[in-house]
Amino acid sequence: MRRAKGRTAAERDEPTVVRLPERFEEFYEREYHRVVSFAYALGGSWWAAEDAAQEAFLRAHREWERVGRYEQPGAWVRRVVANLAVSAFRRRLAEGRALVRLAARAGPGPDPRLQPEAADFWRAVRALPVRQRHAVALFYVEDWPTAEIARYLGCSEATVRGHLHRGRQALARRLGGPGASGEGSG
Amino acid sequence: MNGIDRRGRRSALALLQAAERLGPVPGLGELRRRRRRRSLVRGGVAAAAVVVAAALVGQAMPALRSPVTRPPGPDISTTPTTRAWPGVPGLDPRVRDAVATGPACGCPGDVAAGSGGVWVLRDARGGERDRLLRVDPGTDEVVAGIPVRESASYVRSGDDGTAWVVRLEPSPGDEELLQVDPAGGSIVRAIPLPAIETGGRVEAMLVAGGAVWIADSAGRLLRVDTTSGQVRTALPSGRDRRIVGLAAAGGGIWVASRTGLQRLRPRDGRVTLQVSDPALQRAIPADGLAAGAGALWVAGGGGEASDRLVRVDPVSGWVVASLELRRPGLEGQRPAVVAADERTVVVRRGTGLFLVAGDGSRVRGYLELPGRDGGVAVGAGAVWATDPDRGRLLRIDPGG
Repeated sequence: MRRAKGRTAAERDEPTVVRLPERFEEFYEREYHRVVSFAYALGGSWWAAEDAAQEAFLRAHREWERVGRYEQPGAWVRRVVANLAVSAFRRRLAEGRALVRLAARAGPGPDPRLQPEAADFWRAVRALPVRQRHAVALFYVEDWPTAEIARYLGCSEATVRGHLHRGRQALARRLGGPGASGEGSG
Repeated sequence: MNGIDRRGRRSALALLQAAERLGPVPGLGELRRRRRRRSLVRGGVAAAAVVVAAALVGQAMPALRSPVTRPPGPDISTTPTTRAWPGVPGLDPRVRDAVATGPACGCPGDVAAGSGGVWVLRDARGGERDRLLRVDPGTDEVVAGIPVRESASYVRSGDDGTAWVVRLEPSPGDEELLQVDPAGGSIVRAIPLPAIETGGRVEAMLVAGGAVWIADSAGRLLRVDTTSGQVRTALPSGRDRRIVGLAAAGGGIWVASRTGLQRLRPRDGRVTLQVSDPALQRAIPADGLAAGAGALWVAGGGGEASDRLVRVDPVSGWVVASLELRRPGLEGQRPAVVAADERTVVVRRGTGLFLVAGDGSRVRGYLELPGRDGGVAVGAGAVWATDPDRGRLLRIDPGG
Protein backbone atom coordinates (compact mmCIF):
# COMPACT_ATOMS: atom_id res chain seq x y z
CA MET A 1 0.00 0.00 0.00
CA ARG A 2 1.39 3.37 -0.94
CA ARG A 3 2.02 5.80 1.93
CA ALA A 4 1.60 9.51 1.48
CA LYS A 5 2.88 12.03 4.00
CA GLY A 6 3.25 9.23 6.54
CA ARG A 7 -0.42 8.17 6.51
CA THR A 8 -1.99 5.25 4.73
CA ALA A 9 -5.18 5.52 2.69
CA ALA A 10 -7.07 3.77 5.46
CA GLU A 11 -5.77 6.24 8.02
CA ARG A 12 -6.97 9.09 5.79
CA ASP A 13 -10.36 7.40 5.66
CA GLU A 14 -10.14 6.99 1.90
CA PRO A 15 -11.20 3.92 -0.04
CA THR A 16 -8.28 1.58 -0.68
CA VAL A 17 -7.91 0.34 -4.22
CA VAL A 18 -6.46 -3.12 -4.17
CA ARG A 19 -5.00 -4.39 -7.42
CA LEU A 20 -5.92 -8.05 -7.72
CA PRO A 21 -3.31 -10.06 -9.56
CA GLU A 22 -4.18 -11.61 -12.88
CA ARG A 23 -4.14 -15.40 -12.87
CA PHE A 24 -0.57 -16.47 -13.55
CA GLU A 25 -1.66 -19.01 -16.17
CA GLU A 26 -3.39 -16.32 -18.24
CA PHE A 27 -0.41 -13.99 -17.97
CA TYR A 28 1.98 -16.80 -18.90
CA GLU A 29 -0.05 -17.96 -21.91
CA ARG A 30 -0.36 -14.41 -23.21
CA GLU A 31 3.26 -13.33 -22.70
CA TYR A 32 5.35 -16.45 -23.30
CA HIS A 33 6.07 -16.13 -27.00
CA ARG A 34 6.59 -12.38 -26.78
CA VAL A 35 9.13 -12.83 -24.00
CA VAL A 36 10.97 -15.51 -25.99
CA SER A 37 10.99 -13.11 -28.95
CA PHE A 38 12.35 -10.31 -26.77
CA ALA A 39 15.08 -12.57 -25.40
CA TYR A 40 16.01 -13.62 -28.94
CA ALA A 41 16.12 -9.99 -30.07
CA LEU A 42 18.65 -9.26 -27.31
CA GLY A 43 20.72 -12.43 -27.50
CA GLY A 44 20.33 -13.95 -30.96
CA SER A 45 20.02 -17.56 -29.80
CA TRP A 46 16.70 -19.42 -29.71
CA TRP A 47 17.99 -21.94 -27.17
CA ALA A 48 19.25 -19.29 -24.81
CA ALA A 49 16.06 -17.27 -25.36
CA GLU A 50 13.84 -20.20 -24.41
CA ASP A 51 16.00 -21.07 -21.41
CA ALA A 52 15.97 -17.50 -20.13
CA ALA A 53 12.23 -17.02 -20.72
CA GLN A 54 11.32 -20.30 -19.03
CA GLU A 55 13.49 -19.57 -16.02
CA ALA A 56 12.02 -16.08 -15.74
CA PHE A 57 8.44 -17.41 -15.84
CA LEU A 58 9.25 -20.02 -13.20
CA ARG A 59 10.57 -17.27 -10.96
CA ALA A 60 7.50 -15.16 -11.68
CA HIS A 61 5.28 -18.11 -10.77
CA ARG A 62 7.12 -18.60 -7.49
CA GLU A 63 6.78 -14.88 -6.67
CA TRP A 64 3.38 -14.36 -8.25
CA GLU A 65 1.71 -13.25 -5.04
CA ARG A 66 4.03 -10.23 -5.14
CA VAL A 67 4.89 -9.86 -8.85
CA GLY A 68 1.29 -10.27 -9.95
CA ARG A 69 0.35 -7.10 -8.08
CA TYR A 70 2.95 -5.01 -9.87
CA GLU A 71 1.73 -2.47 -12.34
CA GLN A 72 3.79 -4.17 -15.07
CA PRO A 73 4.51 -7.81 -14.22
CA GLY A 74 5.55 -8.22 -17.87
CA ALA A 75 8.33 -5.67 -17.37
CA TRP A 76 9.53 -7.61 -14.31
CA VAL A 77 9.76 -10.81 -16.35
CA ARG A 78 11.64 -9.03 -19.14
CA ARG A 79 14.11 -7.58 -16.67
CA VAL A 80 14.75 -11.05 -15.29
CA VAL A 81 15.17 -12.32 -18.84
CA ALA A 82 17.66 -9.56 -19.62
CA ASN A 83 19.63 -10.35 -16.47
CA LEU A 84 19.63 -14.06 -17.22
CA ALA A 85 20.60 -13.45 -20.80
CA VAL A 86 23.71 -11.58 -19.75
CA SER A 87 24.77 -13.93 -16.99
CA ALA A 88 28.25 -15.07 -17.95
CA PHE A 89 27.60 -18.64 -16.94
CA ARG A 90 24.39 -18.92 -18.88
CA ARG A 91 26.04 -17.31 -21.86
CA ARG A 92 28.87 -19.81 -21.76
CA LEU A 93 26.39 -22.64 -21.32
CA ALA A 94 24.29 -21.45 -24.22
CA GLU A 95 27.35 -21.01 -26.38
CA GLY A 96 28.46 -24.52 -25.49
CA ARG A 97 25.06 -25.91 -26.38
CA ALA A 98 24.97 -23.91 -29.56
CA LEU A 99 28.37 -25.24 -30.54
CA VAL A 100 27.26 -28.80 -29.88
CA ARG A 101 24.14 -28.33 -31.95
CA LEU A 102 25.97 -26.54 -34.71
CA ALA A 103 28.50 -29.33 -34.81
CA ALA A 104 25.66 -31.81 -35.17
CA ARG A 105 24.33 -29.94 -38.18
CA ALA A 106 25.84 -29.79 -41.61
CA GLY A 107 27.38 -26.44 -40.86
CA PRO A 108 26.58 -22.96 -39.63
CA GLY A 109 24.23 -20.93 -41.78
CA PRO A 110 21.45 -18.38 -41.61
CA ASP A 111 18.76 -18.76 -38.96
CA PRO A 112 16.26 -21.10 -40.64
CA ARG A 113 13.45 -19.86 -38.44
CA LEU A 114 13.66 -16.25 -39.59
CA GLN A 115 13.27 -14.63 -43.00
CA PRO A 116 16.58 -13.09 -44.12
CA GLU A 117 15.20 -9.57 -43.88
CA ALA A 118 14.16 -10.07 -40.24
CA ALA A 119 17.37 -11.94 -39.37
CA ASP A 120 19.45 -9.05 -40.74
CA PHE A 121 17.35 -6.52 -38.86
CA TRP A 122 17.74 -8.23 -35.47
CA ARG A 123 21.44 -8.82 -36.08
CA ALA A 124 21.78 -5.09 -36.63
CA VAL A 125 19.76 -4.39 -33.48
CA ARG A 126 22.11 -6.58 -31.45
CA ALA A 127 25.04 -4.49 -32.65
CA LEU A 128 23.53 -1.36 -31.07
CA PRO A 129 24.71 -0.09 -27.67
CA VAL A 130 22.88 -1.83 -24.83
CA ARG A 131 20.29 0.78 -23.95
CA GLN A 132 19.49 1.54 -27.58
CA ARG A 133 19.17 -2.21 -28.16
CA HIS A 134 16.70 -2.58 -25.29
CA ALA A 135 14.72 0.48 -26.34
CA VAL A 136 14.47 -0.66 -29.96
CA ALA A 137 13.54 -4.24 -29.01
CA LEU A 138 10.84 -3.09 -26.61
CA PHE A 139 9.50 -0.58 -29.13
CA TYR A 140 9.19 -3.03 -32.03
CA VAL A 141 8.73 -6.44 -30.38
CA GLU A 142 6.58 -5.33 -27.49
CA ASP A 143 5.08 -2.26 -29.10
CA TRP A 144 5.54 -0.42 -25.81
CA PRO A 145 5.01 3.34 -25.65
CA THR A 146 8.02 5.43 -24.71
CA ALA A 147 6.62 6.03 -21.20
CA GLU A 148 6.73 2.30 -20.45
CA ILE A 149 10.18 1.93 -21.97
CA ALA A 150 11.34 4.85 -19.82
CA ARG A 151 10.07 3.13 -16.67
CA TYR A 152 11.79 -0.09 -17.73
CA LEU A 153 15.11 1.63 -18.45
CA GLY A 154 14.90 3.93 -15.43
CA CYS A 155 15.29 7.12 -17.47
CA SER A 156 13.15 9.92 -18.88
CA GLU A 157 10.92 9.65 -21.94
CA ALA A 158 13.12 12.20 -23.70
CA THR A 159 16.11 9.92 -23.17
CA VAL A 160 14.14 7.00 -24.59
CA ARG A 161 13.22 9.06 -27.64
CA GLY A 162 16.92 9.85 -28.02
CA HIS A 163 17.83 6.16 -27.80
CA LEU A 164 15.18 5.30 -30.41
CA HIS A 165 16.26 8.10 -32.71
CA ARG A 166 19.93 7.15 -32.58
CA GLY A 167 19.06 3.47 -32.81
CA ARG A 168 17.00 4.04 -35.96
CA GLN A 169 19.75 6.13 -37.51
CA ALA A 170 22.32 3.42 -36.80
CA LEU A 171 20.00 0.74 -38.19
CA ALA A 172 19.38 2.78 -41.32
CA ARG A 173 23.13 3.17 -41.86
CA ARG A 174 23.78 -0.50 -41.22
CA LEU A 175 20.89 -1.83 -43.27
CA GLY A 176 21.15 0.70 -46.05
CA GLY A 177 17.65 2.05 -45.61
CA PRO A 178 16.42 5.63 -45.27
CA GLY A 179 17.38 7.59 -42.15
CA ALA A 180 15.29 8.01 -39.09
CA SER A 181 13.20 11.06 -38.79
CA GLY A 182 10.18 10.03 -36.76
CA GLU A 183 10.02 9.81 -33.00
CA GLY A 184 8.67 6.94 -30.96
CA SER A 185 4.95 7.06 -30.65
CA GLY A 186 3.70 7.51 -27.18
CA MET B 1 6.37 5.77 -40.30
CA ASN B 2 9.64 5.63 -42.18
CA GLY B 3 11.35 2.70 -43.86
CA ILE B 4 13.19 1.51 -40.77
CA ASP B 5 9.98 1.60 -38.75
CA ARG B 6 8.16 -0.47 -41.36
CA ARG B 7 11.01 -2.95 -41.49
CA GLY B 8 11.12 -3.05 -37.68
CA ARG B 9 7.41 -3.88 -37.49
CA ARG B 10 7.73 -6.56 -40.16
CA SER B 11 10.78 -8.05 -38.45
CA ALA B 12 9.04 -8.04 -35.06
CA LEU B 13 6.06 -9.87 -36.56
CA ALA B 14 8.39 -12.40 -38.19
CA LEU B 15 10.18 -12.84 -34.87
CA LEU B 16 6.96 -13.48 -33.00
CA GLN B 17 5.81 -15.96 -35.65
CA ALA B 18 9.16 -17.76 -35.44
CA ALA B 19 8.83 -17.94 -31.65
CA GLU B 20 5.34 -19.42 -32.02
CA ARG B 21 6.70 -22.01 -34.46
CA LEU B 22 9.05 -23.23 -31.69
CA GLY B 23 6.00 -24.96 -30.26
CA PRO B 24 3.02 -24.36 -28.02
CA VAL B 25 3.46 -22.71 -24.66
CA PRO B 26 4.91 -25.44 -22.42
CA GLY B 27 3.02 -26.31 -19.25
CA LEU B 28 4.49 -25.35 -15.88
CA GLY B 29 5.32 -28.97 -15.17
CA GLU B 30 7.30 -29.13 -18.38
CA LEU B 31 9.17 -25.93 -17.41
CA ARG B 32 10.16 -27.51 -14.12
CA ARG B 33 11.36 -30.67 -15.87
CA ARG B 34 13.42 -28.58 -18.29
CA ARG B 35 14.91 -26.62 -15.40
CA ARG B 36 15.93 -29.91 -13.72
CA ARG B 37 17.54 -31.01 -16.97
CA ARG B 38 19.42 -27.71 -17.19
CA SER B 39 20.58 -28.21 -13.58
CA LEU B 40 21.79 -31.70 -14.47
CA VAL B 41 23.73 -30.30 -17.42
CA ARG B 42 25.23 -27.65 -15.18
CA GLY B 43 26.08 -30.32 -12.60
CA GLY B 44 27.72 -32.39 -15.33
CA VAL B 45 29.77 -29.42 -16.48
CA ALA B 46 30.78 -28.67 -12.88
CA ALA B 47 31.75 -32.31 -12.28
CA ALA B 48 33.81 -32.32 -15.46
CA ALA B 49 35.49 -29.09 -14.33
CA VAL B 50 36.32 -30.68 -10.97
CA VAL B 51 37.83 -33.72 -12.69
CA VAL B 52 39.91 -31.50 -14.99
CA ALA B 53 40.99 -29.29 -12.08
CA ALA B 54 41.97 -32.33 -10.01
CA ALA B 55 44.04 -33.64 -12.91
CA LEU B 56 45.77 -30.25 -13.29
CA VAL B 57 46.47 -30.03 -9.56
CA GLY B 58 47.89 -33.54 -9.69
CA GLN B 59 50.24 -32.46 -12.45
CA ALA B 60 51.23 -29.32 -10.61
CA MET B 61 52.00 -30.96 -7.27
CA PRO B 62 55.63 -31.81 -8.02
CA ALA B 63 56.24 -28.16 -8.90
CA LEU B 64 54.64 -26.99 -5.67
CA ARG B 65 56.83 -29.34 -3.66
CA SER B 66 60.02 -28.18 -5.31
CA PRO B 67 62.51 -26.25 -3.16
CA VAL B 68 61.21 -22.81 -2.36
CA THR B 69 62.80 -19.51 -1.55
CA ARG B 70 61.92 -18.54 1.99
CA PRO B 71 62.10 -14.91 2.98
CA PRO B 72 64.35 -14.12 5.93
CA GLY B 73 63.10 -13.16 9.35
CA PRO B 74 62.23 -15.12 12.49
CA ASP B 75 58.50 -14.59 12.05
CA ILE B 76 58.49 -16.60 8.83
CA SER B 77 60.24 -19.63 10.32
CA THR B 78 57.38 -20.16 12.77
CA THR B 79 54.85 -20.47 9.99
CA PRO B 80 51.77 -22.33 11.20
CA THR B 81 50.00 -24.71 8.88
CA THR B 82 46.41 -25.75 8.45
CA ARG B 83 47.10 -28.57 10.89
CA ALA B 84 48.07 -26.23 13.69
CA TRP B 85 46.23 -22.98 13.37
CA PRO B 86 46.37 -20.91 16.49
CA GLY B 87 43.28 -18.92 15.56
CA VAL B 88 42.89 -15.33 16.65
CA PRO B 89 41.92 -15.05 20.32
CA GLY B 90 38.63 -13.33 20.80
CA LEU B 91 37.74 -13.40 17.14
CA ASP B 92 35.19 -15.30 15.15
CA PRO B 93 36.29 -18.94 14.69
CA ARG B 94 35.99 -18.47 10.92
CA VAL B 95 39.08 -16.22 11.07
CA ARG B 96 42.30 -18.23 11.01
CA ASP B 97 45.80 -16.90 11.51
CA ALA B 98 47.00 -18.46 8.29
CA VAL B 99 50.61 -17.40 8.11
CA ALA B 100 53.15 -14.90 9.34
CA THR B 101 54.06 -12.49 6.60
CA GLY B 102 55.84 -9.79 8.49
CA PRO B 103 54.48 -6.27 8.32
CA ALA B 104 52.43 -5.66 5.20
CA CYS B 105 52.12 -2.23 3.67
CA GLY B 106 48.62 -1.86 5.06
CA CYS B 107 47.20 -0.56 1.82
CA PRO B 108 44.12 -1.85 -0.01
CA GLY B 109 46.27 -3.55 -2.64
CA ASP B 110 48.62 -5.46 -0.37
CA VAL B 111 47.06 -8.87 -1.02
CA ALA B 112 45.87 -10.67 -4.17
CA ALA B 113 44.57 -14.18 -4.74
CA GLY B 114 44.37 -16.16 -7.93
CA SER B 115 45.45 -19.25 -9.75
CA GLY B 116 49.11 -18.56 -8.94
CA GLY B 117 48.43 -18.59 -5.21
CA VAL B 118 48.03 -15.79 -2.72
CA TRP B 119 50.39 -12.82 -2.95
CA VAL B 120 51.21 -10.46 -0.09
CA LEU B 121 53.40 -7.37 -0.13
CA ARG B 122 55.75 -7.39 2.83
CA ASP B 123 56.88 -3.96 3.87
CA ALA B 124 60.59 -3.23 4.24
CA ARG B 125 61.96 -2.96 7.77
CA GLY B 126 65.46 -2.15 8.93
CA GLY B 127 67.08 -1.69 5.55
CA GLU B 128 65.55 -4.81 4.05
CA ARG B 129 63.95 -4.71 0.65
CA ASP B 130 60.23 -5.05 0.23
CA ARG B 131 59.28 -8.57 -0.65
CA LEU B 132 56.46 -10.12 -2.55
CA LEU B 133 55.45 -13.27 -0.69
CA ARG B 134 53.70 -16.12 -2.40
CA VAL B 135 51.51 -18.21 -0.10
CA ASP B 136 50.38 -21.68 -1.07
CA PRO B 137 46.65 -21.78 -0.24
CA GLY B 138 46.82 -25.57 0.13
CA THR B 139 49.19 -25.49 3.07
CA ASP B 140 49.19 -21.83 4.08
CA GLU B 141 52.95 -21.78 3.83
CA VAL B 142 55.02 -19.00 2.35
CA VAL B 143 56.61 -20.71 -0.65
CA ALA B 144 58.47 -17.77 -2.14
CA GLY B 145 59.76 -14.36 -1.10
CA ILE B 146 60.81 -12.21 -4.02
CA PRO B 147 62.75 -8.97 -3.37
CA VAL B 148 61.01 -6.08 -5.11
CA ARG B 149 63.16 -3.23 -3.80
CA GLU B 150 61.36 -0.54 -1.84
CA SER B 151 58.00 1.24 -2.03
CA ALA B 152 56.02 -1.64 -3.52
CA SER B 153 52.47 -0.44 -3.15
CA TYR B 154 50.05 -2.64 -5.06
CA VAL B 155 49.88 -6.26 -6.21
CA ARG B 156 47.40 -7.96 -8.49
CA SER B 157 47.48 -11.32 -10.24
CA GLY B 158 46.34 -12.28 -13.72
CA ASP B 159 44.42 -15.33 -14.93
CA ASP B 160 47.69 -17.02 -15.89
CA GLY B 161 48.97 -16.77 -12.31
CA THR B 162 51.43 -13.98 -13.07
CA ALA B 163 51.71 -11.32 -10.38
CA TRP B 164 52.13 -7.62 -11.16
CA VAL B 165 53.51 -5.13 -8.66
CA VAL B 166 53.62 -1.35 -8.85
CA ARG B 167 56.59 0.32 -7.18
CA LEU B 168 56.48 4.00 -6.40
CA GLU B 169 59.54 6.10 -5.70
CA PRO B 170 59.66 8.92 -3.14
CA SER B 171 60.61 11.22 -6.01
CA PRO B 172 58.58 10.97 -9.22
CA GLY B 173 60.15 9.46 -12.30
CA ASP B 174 61.32 6.01 -11.29
CA GLU B 175 57.99 4.26 -10.90
CA GLU B 176 57.87 0.73 -12.27
CA LEU B 177 55.50 -2.07 -12.99
CA LEU B 178 57.10 -5.42 -12.17
CA GLN B 179 56.02 -8.71 -13.69
CA VAL B 180 56.63 -11.72 -11.45
CA ASP B 181 56.67 -15.25 -12.76
CA PRO B 182 55.04 -17.55 -10.18
CA ALA B 183 56.88 -20.66 -11.34
CA GLY B 184 60.36 -19.19 -11.21
CA GLY B 185 59.59 -16.85 -8.34
CA SER B 186 61.50 -14.01 -9.92
CA ILE B 187 60.94 -10.65 -11.57
CA VAL B 188 60.91 -11.23 -15.30
CA ARG B 189 60.24 -7.69 -16.49
CA ALA B 190 60.29 -4.13 -15.15
CA ILE B 191 58.25 -1.62 -17.16
CA PRO B 192 58.90 2.08 -16.46
CA LEU B 193 55.73 4.04 -15.73
CA PRO B 194 55.03 7.72 -16.30
CA ALA B 195 55.76 9.81 -13.22
CA ILE B 196 53.16 9.74 -10.49
CA GLU B 197 52.90 12.99 -8.55
CA THR B 198 54.98 13.45 -5.42
CA GLY B 199 53.15 11.94 -2.49
CA GLY B 200 50.73 10.30 -4.90
CA ARG B 201 49.64 6.70 -4.69
CA VAL B 202 48.05 3.90 -6.67
CA GLU B 203 44.32 3.90 -6.01
CA ALA B 204 43.37 0.78 -7.93
CA MET B 205 44.89 -1.86 -10.17
CA LEU B 206 43.53 -4.60 -12.40
CA VAL B 207 44.93 -7.27 -14.73
CA ALA B 208 42.43 -7.92 -17.52
CA GLY B 209 41.88 -7.68 -21.24
CA GLY B 210 45.53 -8.20 -22.11
CA ALA B 211 46.62 -5.24 -20.03
CA VAL B 212 47.42 -4.03 -16.55
CA TRP B 213 45.29 -1.05 -15.58
CA ILE B 214 46.65 1.34 -12.98
CA ALA B 215 44.69 4.23 -11.50
CA ASP B 216 46.65 6.86 -9.59
CA SER B 217 45.61 9.49 -7.09
CA ALA B 218 45.54 12.19 -9.77
CA GLY B 219 42.58 10.45 -11.41
CA ARG B 220 44.71 9.15 -14.26
CA LEU B 221 44.23 5.63 -15.63
CA LEU B 222 47.17 3.93 -17.31
CA ARG B 223 46.89 0.94 -19.62
CA VAL B 224 50.00 -1.24 -19.83
CA ASP B 225 49.94 -3.88 -22.56
CA THR B 226 51.04 -7.17 -20.96
CA THR B 227 52.67 -8.41 -24.16
CA SER B 228 54.42 -5.36 -25.59
CA GLY B 229 54.82 -3.43 -22.34
CA GLN B 230 53.52 -0.32 -24.10
CA VAL B 231 52.11 2.22 -21.65
CA ARG B 232 49.18 4.43 -22.67
CA THR B 233 47.02 6.87 -20.79
CA ALA B 234 43.45 5.58 -20.97
CA LEU B 235 42.00 8.40 -18.89
CA PRO B 236 43.94 11.63 -18.32
CA SER B 237 44.42 13.17 -14.91
CA GLY B 238 41.32 14.78 -13.51
CA ARG B 239 41.18 16.40 -10.11
CA ASP B 240 37.43 15.94 -9.95
CA ARG B 241 37.65 12.23 -10.72
CA ARG B 242 39.04 10.14 -7.91
CA ILE B 243 39.13 6.54 -9.09
CA VAL B 244 38.34 4.09 -6.30
CA GLY B 245 38.09 0.76 -8.10
CA LEU B 246 38.65 -1.19 -11.30
CA ALA B 247 37.01 -4.42 -12.42
CA ALA B 248 36.55 -6.54 -15.54
CA ALA B 249 33.08 -7.87 -16.37
CA GLY B 250 30.77 -8.31 -19.33
CA GLY B 251 33.59 -7.83 -21.80
CA GLY B 252 34.48 -4.36 -20.50
CA ILE B 253 36.78 -2.67 -18.03
CA TRP B 254 34.79 -0.84 -15.35
CA VAL B 255 36.05 2.22 -13.56
CA ALA B 256 34.41 3.40 -10.35
CA SER B 257 35.12 6.92 -9.25
CA ARG B 258 33.76 8.63 -6.15
CA THR B 259 30.90 9.98 -8.24
CA GLY B 260 30.03 7.31 -10.78
CA LEU B 261 30.72 4.22 -12.81
CA GLN B 262 31.81 3.90 -16.42
CA ARG B 263 32.80 1.12 -18.81
CA LEU B 264 35.87 1.18 -21.05
CA ARG B 265 36.71 -0.83 -24.12
CA PRO B 266 39.61 -3.14 -23.16
CA ARG B 267 41.62 -2.76 -26.34
CA ASP B 268 41.99 1.01 -26.26
CA GLY B 269 40.40 2.27 -23.06
CA ARG B 270 37.68 4.21 -24.84
CA VAL B 271 34.66 4.98 -22.63
CA THR B 272 31.66 3.05 -23.96
CA LEU B 273 29.11 3.47 -21.18
CA GLN B 274 28.45 5.88 -18.35
CA VAL B 275 26.06 4.29 -15.86
CA SER B 276 23.11 6.58 -15.37
CA ASP B 277 20.85 4.36 -13.28
CA PRO B 278 19.63 6.61 -10.44
CA ALA B 279 19.76 3.61 -8.08
CA LEU B 280 23.56 3.78 -8.24
CA GLN B 281 23.35 6.94 -6.14
CA ARG B 282 22.76 4.71 -3.13
CA ALA B 283 26.43 3.73 -3.28
CA ILE B 284 27.73 7.24 -4.01
CA PRO B 285 30.24 8.40 -2.95
CA ALA B 286 31.73 5.07 -3.95
CA ASP B 287 34.55 3.48 -2.01
CA GLY B 288 35.31 0.32 -3.96
CA LEU B 289 34.44 -1.89 -6.91
CA ALA B 290 34.78 -5.59 -7.65
CA ALA B 291 33.51 -8.11 -10.20
CA GLY B 292 32.26 -11.58 -9.36
CA ALA B 293 29.27 -13.91 -9.50
CA GLY B 294 28.31 -12.47 -12.89
CA ALA B 295 27.93 -8.95 -11.58
CA LEU B 296 29.67 -5.76 -10.58
CA TRP B 297 29.64 -4.73 -6.95
CA VAL B 298 29.97 -1.12 -5.86
CA ALA B 299 30.41 -0.37 -2.17
CA GLY B 300 29.98 3.07 -0.74
CA GLY B 301 27.39 5.65 0.08
CA GLY B 302 28.16 5.40 3.76
CA GLY B 303 30.42 7.52 5.83
CA GLU B 304 28.41 6.88 8.94
CA ALA B 305 27.34 3.59 10.46
CA SER B 306 26.26 1.97 7.24
CA ASP B 307 27.39 1.39 3.69
CA ARG B 308 25.55 0.25 0.63
CA LEU B 309 26.57 -2.57 -1.63
CA VAL B 310 24.85 -2.37 -4.99
CA ARG B 311 24.87 -5.09 -7.62
CA VAL B 312 25.16 -3.83 -11.19
CA ASP B 313 24.44 -5.82 -14.31
CA PRO B 314 27.71 -5.65 -16.28
CA VAL B 315 26.08 -5.54 -19.70
CA SER B 316 23.20 -3.14 -19.24
CA GLY B 317 24.67 -1.09 -16.41
CA TRP B 318 21.45 -1.44 -14.40
CA VAL B 319 21.47 -1.66 -10.66
CA VAL B 320 19.72 -4.96 -9.96
CA ALA B 321 20.06 -5.21 -6.18
CA SER B 322 21.06 -3.11 -3.22
CA LEU B 323 22.04 -4.19 0.25
CA GLU B 324 22.59 -2.13 3.37
CA LEU B 325 25.71 -2.96 5.36
CA ARG B 326 24.88 -1.63 8.78
CA ARG B 327 27.05 -2.09 11.82
CA PRO B 328 27.57 0.16 14.83
CA GLY B 329 31.14 1.29 15.22
CA LEU B 330 31.92 1.75 11.55
CA GLU B 331 31.89 5.52 11.92
CA GLY B 332 35.20 7.09 11.06
CA GLN B 333 36.76 3.86 9.84
CA ARG B 334 38.63 3.40 6.59
CA PRO B 335 36.73 3.51 3.28
CA ALA B 336 35.36 0.17 2.21
CA VAL B 337 37.47 -2.27 0.20
CA VAL B 338 35.51 -4.79 -1.83
CA ALA B 339 36.50 -8.10 -3.46
CA ALA B 340 34.53 -10.93 -5.02
CA ASP B 341 34.67 -14.31 -6.69
CA GLU B 342 31.95 -16.50 -8.17
CA ARG B 343 30.32 -17.28 -4.81
CA THR B 344 31.26 -14.62 -2.34
CA VAL B 345 31.45 -10.86 -2.14
CA VAL B 346 33.36 -9.30 0.75
CA VAL B 347 33.44 -5.74 1.97
CA ARG B 348 36.13 -4.74 4.43
CA ARG B 349 35.69 -1.47 6.25
CA GLY B 350 38.29 -0.95 8.92
CA THR B 351 37.93 -3.76 11.43
CA GLY B 352 34.61 -4.94 9.96
CA LEU B 353 34.30 -7.60 7.29
CA PHE B 354 30.96 -8.34 5.63
CA LEU B 355 30.51 -11.66 3.80
CA VAL B 356 27.72 -11.31 1.23
CA ALA B 357 26.04 -14.10 -0.73
CA GLY B 358 26.98 -14.21 -4.41
CA ASP B 359 23.44 -13.35 -5.50
CA GLY B 360 23.52 -10.21 -3.37
CA SER B 361 20.42 -11.28 -1.48
CA ARG B 362 21.80 -11.16 2.06
CA VAL B 363 24.76 -10.61 4.32
CA ARG B 364 25.96 -14.11 5.09
CA GLY B 365 28.16 -13.09 7.95
CA TYR B 366 29.97 -10.29 9.72
CA LEU B 367 33.38 -10.60 11.33
CA GLU B 368 35.62 -8.36 13.35
CA LEU B 369 39.25 -8.24 12.25
CA PRO B 370 42.15 -7.39 14.56
CA GLY B 371 43.45 -4.42 12.57
CA ARG B 372 41.91 -1.48 10.78
CA ASP B 373 44.27 -1.27 7.83
CA GLY B 374 44.98 -3.61 4.97
CA GLY B 375 43.53 -5.19 1.91
CA VAL B 376 41.24 -8.08 1.21
CA ALA B 377 41.10 -10.64 -1.58
CA VAL B 378 38.86 -13.55 -2.53
CA GLY B 379 40.20 -16.59 -4.30
CA ALA B 380 41.83 -19.98 -3.93
CA GLY B 381 38.91 -21.17 -1.81
CA ALA B 382 39.04 -18.52 0.89
CA VAL B 383 38.85 -14.88 1.79
CA TRP B 384 42.25 -13.36 2.60
CA ALA B 385 42.84 -10.26 4.66
CA THR B 386 46.10 -8.71 5.74
CA ASP B 387 46.74 -7.76 9.34
CA PRO B 388 49.70 -5.41 8.92
CA ASP B 389 50.15 -4.53 12.59
CA ARG B 390 50.48 -8.14 13.69
CA GLY B 391 52.27 -9.13 10.49
CA ARG B 392 49.84 -11.91 9.66
CA LEU B 393 47.76 -13.02 6.73
CA LEU B 394 44.28 -14.01 7.85
CA ARG B 395 42.33 -16.74 6.14
CA ILE B 396 38.58 -16.52 6.45
CA ASP B 397 36.13 -19.27 5.70
CA PRO B 398 33.67 -17.76 3.19
CA GLY B 399 30.88 -20.11 4.34
CA GLY B 400 28.26 -21.65 2.09
